[in-house]
Amino acid sequence: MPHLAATPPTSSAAHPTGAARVAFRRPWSTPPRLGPARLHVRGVRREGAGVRTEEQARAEEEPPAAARTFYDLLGISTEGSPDEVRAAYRRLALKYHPDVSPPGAAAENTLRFIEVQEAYETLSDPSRRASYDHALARGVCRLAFSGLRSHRAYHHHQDQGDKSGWRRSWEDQVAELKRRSVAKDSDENLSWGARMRRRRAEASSAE
Amino acid sequence: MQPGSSASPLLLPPSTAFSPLHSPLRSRSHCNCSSPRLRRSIAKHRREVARAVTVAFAWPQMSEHFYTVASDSETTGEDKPQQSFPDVAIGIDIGTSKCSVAVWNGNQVELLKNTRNQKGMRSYVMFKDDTLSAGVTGAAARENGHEERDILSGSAIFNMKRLIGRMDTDEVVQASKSLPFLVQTLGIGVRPFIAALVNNMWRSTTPEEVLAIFLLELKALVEMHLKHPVRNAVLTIPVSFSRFQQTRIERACAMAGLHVLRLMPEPTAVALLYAQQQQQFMHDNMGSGIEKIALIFNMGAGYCDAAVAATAGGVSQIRALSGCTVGGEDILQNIMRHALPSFDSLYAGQTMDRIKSIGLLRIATQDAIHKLANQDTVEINVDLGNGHKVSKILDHSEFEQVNQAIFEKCENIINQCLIDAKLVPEDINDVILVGGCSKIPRIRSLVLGLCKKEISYKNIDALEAAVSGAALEGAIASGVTDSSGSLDLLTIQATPMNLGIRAGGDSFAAIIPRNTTVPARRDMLFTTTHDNQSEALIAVYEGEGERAEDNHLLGYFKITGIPAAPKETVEISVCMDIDASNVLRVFAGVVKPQGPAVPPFIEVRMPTLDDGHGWCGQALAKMYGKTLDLAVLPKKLQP
Repeated sequence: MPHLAATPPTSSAAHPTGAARVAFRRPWSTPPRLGPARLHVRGVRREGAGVRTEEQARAEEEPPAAARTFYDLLGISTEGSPDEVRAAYRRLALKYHPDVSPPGAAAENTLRFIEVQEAYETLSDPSRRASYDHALARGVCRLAFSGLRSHRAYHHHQDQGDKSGWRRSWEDQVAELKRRSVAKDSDENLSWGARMRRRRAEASSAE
Repeated sequence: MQPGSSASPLLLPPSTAFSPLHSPLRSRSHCNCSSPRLRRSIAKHRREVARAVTVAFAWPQMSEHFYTVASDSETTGEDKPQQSFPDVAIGIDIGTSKCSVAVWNGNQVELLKNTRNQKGMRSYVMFKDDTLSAGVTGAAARENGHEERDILSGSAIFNMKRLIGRMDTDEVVQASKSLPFLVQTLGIGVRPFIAALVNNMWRSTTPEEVLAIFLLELKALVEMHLKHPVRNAVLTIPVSFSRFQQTRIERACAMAGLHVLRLMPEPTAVALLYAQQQQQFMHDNMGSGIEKIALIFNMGAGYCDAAVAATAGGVSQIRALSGCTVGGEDILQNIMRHALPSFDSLYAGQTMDRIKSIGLLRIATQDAIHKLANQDTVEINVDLGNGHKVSKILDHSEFEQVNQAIFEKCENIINQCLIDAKLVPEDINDVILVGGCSKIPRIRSLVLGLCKKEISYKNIDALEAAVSGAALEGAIASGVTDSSGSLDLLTIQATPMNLGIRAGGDSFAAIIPRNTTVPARRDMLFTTTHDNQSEALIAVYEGEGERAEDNHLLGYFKITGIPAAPKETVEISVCMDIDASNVLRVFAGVVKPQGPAVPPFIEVRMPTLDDGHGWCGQALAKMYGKTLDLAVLPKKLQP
């Protein structure tokens, strides 16, 4: 379901040069889409946490990738060895680095690459990885990336002149997914507080 | 063009043999153009190339058109992002002393030779009467043996790589004042005035113009060789080049009708070549994707750089970069001053006999340094005229003592590189020594000693590595693929210097620290320093200094309309973004309080400064330093 899983994690480890060549030649597919189930699950988990911070409300606006763990992003298990982290990073660099991206997808891939880079930098540094794991285990880790605010600032300006449309189409998609998950949530008899929080979050994100 | 012929390619009319208008379309084997749409765009592109090149060639007769061409090609460069270019970008290494050019010929990188069979061509432009000629053809030096003497006659401008984009307060510019041509400084942070001697008169020029003339001749050489017009180039630059200097290089290229596809720090070009060799090696041995760490040390005549690169499976990741402005030129000047202690008093003020005398000393010293690489002692014996004679025997220990400060700087940048890459010497698999100064025994032993290695990596030519890497990058960036997989390479670049803004008085707040992988986007929160402060100055700097003034000013702008609030309550976000084309943008605006009363964010592409930025930084600090200051907002602890 997450698009990252489309590349088998083992391929590059086994045949590095072969994998590299495949990655270079791969015709670019349409921007990755996330199934509605994913967003819904995410929403429920948030609601379960009970507190909806401003940060989380912001995360809703971001590409869904921003809310996964670094391990999900690199497509490795939480026990992945440093070599696996590096191999995964190289594989994803060959996929998302703007130098190997088709012109149409370069802008979006650049954002993805920056996320991959942050995941790699965190997980390849033993001490940073340890504190990340610790935070992850306690469930209090901010799963989104530290570059979040800047993404927002960036998009805030990109939006006005953005003619490429991918951002807008993506936003439409998210809005639709939100609408659906709200509808589904009401079926599930969410608490009054949860519904209010959701409504407030939507009102603020619609600004 | 025969050797010894005085006609430079600059003077050839557009109808000569290598004119783009008559050149056959290049062979298909170089590019994989299969679709009709692509072929049409290629044909269109070629027409444009042909037009640009023709106008450029007409320049020497009508010098004012030169600038028209420059602005034209600069805008076409902007308008045409890196699409599917049919032409393979050439690789150019403009050295302080020597320059070389290479192309991907379909199978491998090929270094081009000039008519005198040189791969490394002296970097200079000779001004004579109405003609100009560059070191590519060496047409101005009628007798081959006397080229160096002619270069030092005052009529030639050289070392332009050390002068380009520098202010007259810069110590590198100050050190250039002992060169035979005129370098005049006012010490106020503006562009230095440079001039060449033409018929006993100083004729002014600029480093950009000199470089453009050189590149024009170089371009003509490549076109003659390839028999088709070239437009795109990948150039190597020193690590310590500021973004402002990079714009000057781009400007010079635009003046010469070249579109800069990429500017690569020199050691990263070498890293790319290394990555290719490693990939080939792994392929042949069916090895797995083991990561190999290389330390690359590059020291030429003008600059010294180091890089640590991690390579596996064709992906070369630049872990750390560092560089400084010391090179063979400094070693040469040190030895000249050592051999002739009265150097500075003797040569204060340029007269014809002093220029000649300095030239003689320079040639003799240079010769001695070259010889010292292979022998224990060397004798500098030269009659400088006017009763001055230099007679000196120089050995290694004396040479090393005189240049101690330079060797220390080299040590510093290597140590810095290792620390930044979080590596110890034992982690390094290969030490790659490149550049002209890598032949100096002390440099070799110093680098190998710091990396705890006995020998350096052997498969790379010290003088051809950077240009070969640039040509490889040119082929890759032009979209060329190779069936053997030898172009399936990727370099993940890093920023060589901190990027940040002035904050809290004269402090420098780094927003994108050096060695951050590019593309990158980082932000930082700032706050106001006064109650009801309605405006804030964002002055963007690049460099390693802790004080803003020690760094290069790239540009500045104001945030206005900040809502009235007590100091330290407003949150201002400054975000820096380096995109895929290495363009730096700064976004800034108020993020707290929020609401309709907050002004829109500002996006500024950097650098915005054109010239005179030395004065500018001081003027800004003096006028607005206190009133429009910002302070760094401490990062809130994460839950």
